[in-house]
Amino acid sequence: MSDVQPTTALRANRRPVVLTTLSVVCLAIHYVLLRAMAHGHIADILLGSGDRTPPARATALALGLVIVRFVSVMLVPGFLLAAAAEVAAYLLVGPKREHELDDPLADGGDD
Amino acid sequence: MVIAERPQPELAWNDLEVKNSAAPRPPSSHKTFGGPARHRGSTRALVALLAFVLGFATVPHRVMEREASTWFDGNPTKADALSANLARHTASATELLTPSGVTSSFRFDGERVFATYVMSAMGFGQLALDRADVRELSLARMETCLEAMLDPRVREFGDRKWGEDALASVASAPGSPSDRGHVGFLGYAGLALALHRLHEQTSRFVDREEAIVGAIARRIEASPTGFVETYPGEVYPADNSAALAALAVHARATSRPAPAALDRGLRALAQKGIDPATGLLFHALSVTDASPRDEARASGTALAAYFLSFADAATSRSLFDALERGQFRTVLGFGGMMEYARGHRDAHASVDAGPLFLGFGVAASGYAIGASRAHGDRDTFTALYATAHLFGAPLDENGTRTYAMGGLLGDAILFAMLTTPRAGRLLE
Repeated sequence: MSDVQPTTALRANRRPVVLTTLSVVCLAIHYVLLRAMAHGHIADILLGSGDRTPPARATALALGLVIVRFVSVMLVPGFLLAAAAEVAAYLLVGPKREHELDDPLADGGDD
Repeated sequence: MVIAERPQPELAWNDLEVKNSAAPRPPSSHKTFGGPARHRGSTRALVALLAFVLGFATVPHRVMEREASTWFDGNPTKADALSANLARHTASATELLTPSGVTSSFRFDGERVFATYVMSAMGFGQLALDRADVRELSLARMETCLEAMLDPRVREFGDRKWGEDALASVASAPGSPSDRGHVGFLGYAGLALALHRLHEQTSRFVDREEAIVGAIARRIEASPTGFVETYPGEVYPADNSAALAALAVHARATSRPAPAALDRGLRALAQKGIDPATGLLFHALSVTDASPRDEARASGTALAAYFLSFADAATSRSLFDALERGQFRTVLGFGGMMEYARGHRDAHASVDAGPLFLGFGVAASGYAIGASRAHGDRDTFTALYATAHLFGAPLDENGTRTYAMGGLLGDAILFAMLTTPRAGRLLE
């Protein structure tokens, strides 16, 4: 393993890094949106708009939070477990190699 | 899977490696899974996919329901935090009557503000029942909500429809034309006041409570159907169930026998208010003969199951059983109540039912939390709480908790539902 270039190894094994980064970004956005929603009393503004069109900014914030919260709660645990599984595979089996990445018959999603 | 030091050279996949042999193959110090590169790659992808599916199916609902058990058994920390948040926002009647809260519908806006004060008062009163350590504080907060609830600006929402003030109608001569209706205001306000009287036999609210409960009893007795109107020409069984709860709690608080109106109202509800096909409560009835004017719905049923847990545990239980039997569904461990019975696919959202998602009612699922706690159904409570936690988006900050997606009304409703006493506890 010592003669594998770090960039090559990283490129071939980047999926856990991507999944973990995506998860962290989701959680960070969730952190920000949740506070913005609560401190801005956005739900009260939306409820208070009755049958009028609610303010676009409030609607966008609420929709954004719903989506990001759904992803953070429902998908992020799976992302992190998948990343952990890949890391475990890395430790047990070794890194995927660059030539496997370039193999046209290798699994397409296995980058 | 076979573990080997190196891939076997005689295998067909090795030809592919030869084609790619320009890239130097590093010697591996690891033990590797044997098999072709594409198989190994596929195996990695499959393991990652299985891990994702495992995480997706098993983790989210467990994370979301982790507080459910402590709420079910009484959660001092979270209850205090939610209580503190509501106390901060219900500190005065004007707090919720700011211009930003005024909608294009005077009636719905007023109902929302009124419901926020009533449900907060119920939550504070229920917390005082459970927790001696915060009893005085909770009662003080409850009294602030009761004051606000009785404020003319808050109760004004029904006046335009009736052409008179609900409390003024209470003071009208028994049997006079003004002595009718207003159960939307009187039922909810009467229950909150009666719950306060259960704690404090003498207070500045006693006369008001006595007058309201007396008016409710008179109007049920005088009604040809046993139901009292919420607005002129509009009868809602769920509002009447709040009025019946007010009668029952008042009787308990004053140690008097329950009035005959309670029995009459409960019989009317059982005979005319409940859909025999589904066991759910009809949303609306006609004034003249109490025939159904709208479909049976889960939101009204769940709310009535909560209210009736203060008045008649058996009727409350039958409504909750109907909900659990016909409307309760779980998806990946998250529970919810379908708003309409099976076969009503043209269902639409309404002010009372709240938004519907794939047929699941937000209000029905929220109110059912209280009903399930009242009837000691831990599993249903847990699944419903997981959903409320997911979509409510709680935020704990500075010793307070708010459910960001529900707003203050959502906080108030959840506070009342999460602190609901066991059914029949107040009837013993």
